[in-house]
Amino acid sequence: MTSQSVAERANAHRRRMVGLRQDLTSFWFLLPILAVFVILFAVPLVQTIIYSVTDFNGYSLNMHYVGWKNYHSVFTDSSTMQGLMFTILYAVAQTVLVTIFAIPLAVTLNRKFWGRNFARSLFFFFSVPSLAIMGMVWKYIFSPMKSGVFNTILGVFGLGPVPWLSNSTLARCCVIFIAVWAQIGWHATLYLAFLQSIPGDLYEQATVDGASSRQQFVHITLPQLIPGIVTSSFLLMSGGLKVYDLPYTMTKGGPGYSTYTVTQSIIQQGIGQSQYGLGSALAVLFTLATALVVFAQMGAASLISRRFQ
Amino acid sequence: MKLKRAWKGIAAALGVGMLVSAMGACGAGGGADGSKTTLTFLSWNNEQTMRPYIDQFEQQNPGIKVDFSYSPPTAEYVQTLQTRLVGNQAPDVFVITSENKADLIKNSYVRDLTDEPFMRNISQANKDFVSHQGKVYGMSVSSWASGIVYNKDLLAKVGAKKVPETWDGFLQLCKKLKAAGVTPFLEGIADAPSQIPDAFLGSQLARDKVDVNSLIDRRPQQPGSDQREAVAAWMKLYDQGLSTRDTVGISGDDRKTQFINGQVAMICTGPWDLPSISQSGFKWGMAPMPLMEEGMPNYAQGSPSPAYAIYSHLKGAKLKAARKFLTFMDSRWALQHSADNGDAITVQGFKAKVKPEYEEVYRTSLQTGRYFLVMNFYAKPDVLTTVRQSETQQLVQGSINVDQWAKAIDDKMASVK
Repeated sequence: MTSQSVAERANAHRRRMVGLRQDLTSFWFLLPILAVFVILFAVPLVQTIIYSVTDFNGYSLNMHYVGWKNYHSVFTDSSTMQGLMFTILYAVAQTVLVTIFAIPLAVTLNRKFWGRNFARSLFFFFSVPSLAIMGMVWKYIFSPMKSGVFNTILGVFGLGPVPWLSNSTLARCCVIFIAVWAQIGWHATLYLAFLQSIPGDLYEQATVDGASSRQQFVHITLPQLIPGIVTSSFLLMSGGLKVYDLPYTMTKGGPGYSTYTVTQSIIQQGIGQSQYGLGSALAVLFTLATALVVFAQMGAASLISRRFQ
Repeated sequence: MKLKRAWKGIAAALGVGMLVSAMGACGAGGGADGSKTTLTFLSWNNEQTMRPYIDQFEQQNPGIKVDFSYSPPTAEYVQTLQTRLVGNQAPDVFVITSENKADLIKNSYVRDLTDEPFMRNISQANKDFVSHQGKVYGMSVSSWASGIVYNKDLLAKVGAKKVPETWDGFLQLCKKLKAAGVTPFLEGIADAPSQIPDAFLGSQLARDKVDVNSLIDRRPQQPGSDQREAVAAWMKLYDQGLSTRDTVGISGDDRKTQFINGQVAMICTGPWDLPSISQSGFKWGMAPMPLMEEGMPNYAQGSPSPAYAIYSHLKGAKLKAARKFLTFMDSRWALQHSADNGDAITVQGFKAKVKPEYEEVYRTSLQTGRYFLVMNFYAKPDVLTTVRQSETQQLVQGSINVDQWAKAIDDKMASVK
C-alpha cells in the first residue's frame, strides 16, 4: 500500500465523518418537528386506524373488533354521502373561483396607483378574522327575514326578500361566496409575491416587440405564475376538503344536509354521537381520499409546469 | 473563562430552583388545606353562577373544599366529562343529562342514588328523567316548560285577548292575524327543531296511556313513527301558509328578536327568553301550548333540568363529601337561590315563585308533571336530535312529506347500535 493511497483513504474517512456529523446536526434540527409530527400526527393516525375496526364508544376502553362494519356503514349513510358531495363542491368551487379572481386582483395591486398600499392591506384584511367569526357575521347579513341586511337593501328597491339561507341552493352559494370573498385577499398577496419576482425586462422586451397587455399577461405573467398557482390551489383544495368552521357557524350544515360537510359528519358521528369507530372509519377514508386528490392535483400541476418551462 | 461562567450559571439556576422548591414545600405543608377533603365538581354552569353555592357550602362544611371546573353545555360538556372519565380524571360530582345519561348509566359511571335521604323530596318526573330499571342516578331539582308567548296589542288587532286552547283554534287565530297584515307566528328551526310536536306527542302518549319510561327499551326504536301524528298536525301551520317556510334559515335568537321588535304576534319559547322579552316594553303574555285535539290532556314541551350525579367509584371521605354537597343543593337556601335566578323548582314542599306571565304554564305543566321532551325518552338522543333537526328542515322546505320524514328518522335510529 502506497503512502498516497493511505492518504486518500484517510481523506475519504475524514469526509465521511464530516458528512455524518453534518447529517447528525441536521437530525438534531429536525428532531423537534419530527417529535411534533409523531406525537400529533402519526400516533393519532395509527390510533384512528385501530379504532376504525372496533366498536369504541369513547366511554369504555373495553372495545371489540368489528371488522369492516364501520366502513360499510359509512357508505350506506345518506347524510355522509350528501356531506361528501357538498365538501367536493365547496373545495372545487373555492379553488377555481379564488384562483380566477385572485390573479387579476394581484396584477391590479402590482400596478402603481394612489392608495395602493391601503388597497393591498384592505384585501388582505378579509382573511385575518377566522372563518368561524365570518360565518356568524354573514349569517345575519344573509338572514332570509325581511330584516336581514341584504334583504333590507333589496327592500329599498322594492325587491325580495330572498330566502338566502333557507333555500338549499342559495345556502350553498352563500357559503361558497363567503369562502371566496374571505380568501381572495390572502391568495392575491401570495400571487403578488410571485409577480414581483418576474424580471421587468421580460415586459420591456415584449413591449418593444409590440405585444399587447393581454398578450403579455397570457404569455409572460401567467406562465411565470404557475408555481404560485400550484401553491395556492394546493392550499385551497386541501383547506376546502377539510372545511368545518364556516358552514357550521353559518348554517349548521342545513337546510337539511345541503351544506353538511365530511368533517362535520366525522365530528358529529364520532364525538357527538359517541360512535368513535364509525367516526374513525370515516376519517381514515377521508384521509385517503384527500391524499389521492392532493397527489392528483400535484401531478397535474407538475405536468402544467413542465409544459411552460 | 466561558466554562467558569457556565458553571456559575448552572449553580445559580440550581440555587434558585432549590429555593423555589423549599418555598413551595412551605406553602404545601403549612396550609390548613391538608386536613380538608377536596371534592372535584364539573359543572356546566359557569363559575359566576356556581360561586355563591360553593361559598355557602364551604362555609357550612369547613372540612370540605370544592375544586370547581366548568365546561359549557351541551356537546362540549359531554365531551369534557367523557374524556375525564375515560382518562381516570373523573370529577366526584358532575352533571347527568339527556345526552349522556344512557352512556353514563350503561358504563357504570354514576352512583345509584335511589335510597339517598336527599332524594326523598325530589318530584317523580325529575326522578324518571334519570332513572333506569327502577334506579335513580341523579338529583334534578327544577324543570322548565315552554309555551306560547304573545304580543297582546297585536292579538287585540283581531279582537283576540288570549291564545286559543286548541290547535285548530290557534290556526284560526293565525289566519285572522295574517289577514290583518300581522305575521302570526314564527319559529326558528335553523338551530333546533320546533317545540310544538314534542308537546303534541306528550299529549298523544298520555291519551294512548303509553308508559313514556318504556319507550327507551322498545326495539326497534321508532321515534319517527311515534311522532308522525303530532308532526302532521304541526305541519298544518306550513301547509296552510300560516308561517313562512324560511324558518329553516331562522335561528331561535332571530325569532326572539323579531318578537321583541313587535314584528310577529306569537312565538313558542321557554323561560330562558322571558327576561329579555320583559324588557321589550310592550304588553305580553304566555299561554300553555294549544291542545293537539280537544279533550286530550294538555302537555308542554319541557324537561327536568340536568341532574347532579356522584361518580360511582367514590368511597370514604370523598363519598361523604359528595353526599353532603347534593344534600346542600337540595337545601332550602340553595333552592331559594336557584328560584331567585329564575329556575322553576319542582322539589316537593318547596313553594317557588315564578314570573307572573309564566305562572299559568308553571301551574298547568310543571306542577302537574305534564311536560315532555322527545330526546329524554328514546335511546341515542344525540343521534335523534341531529337526524330530527335535518329531516325537519327538509320537511318544512317541502322536499319530503311526513311519511318520508318518519321513515328517515326510524331508519337512522335502526342503523345505530
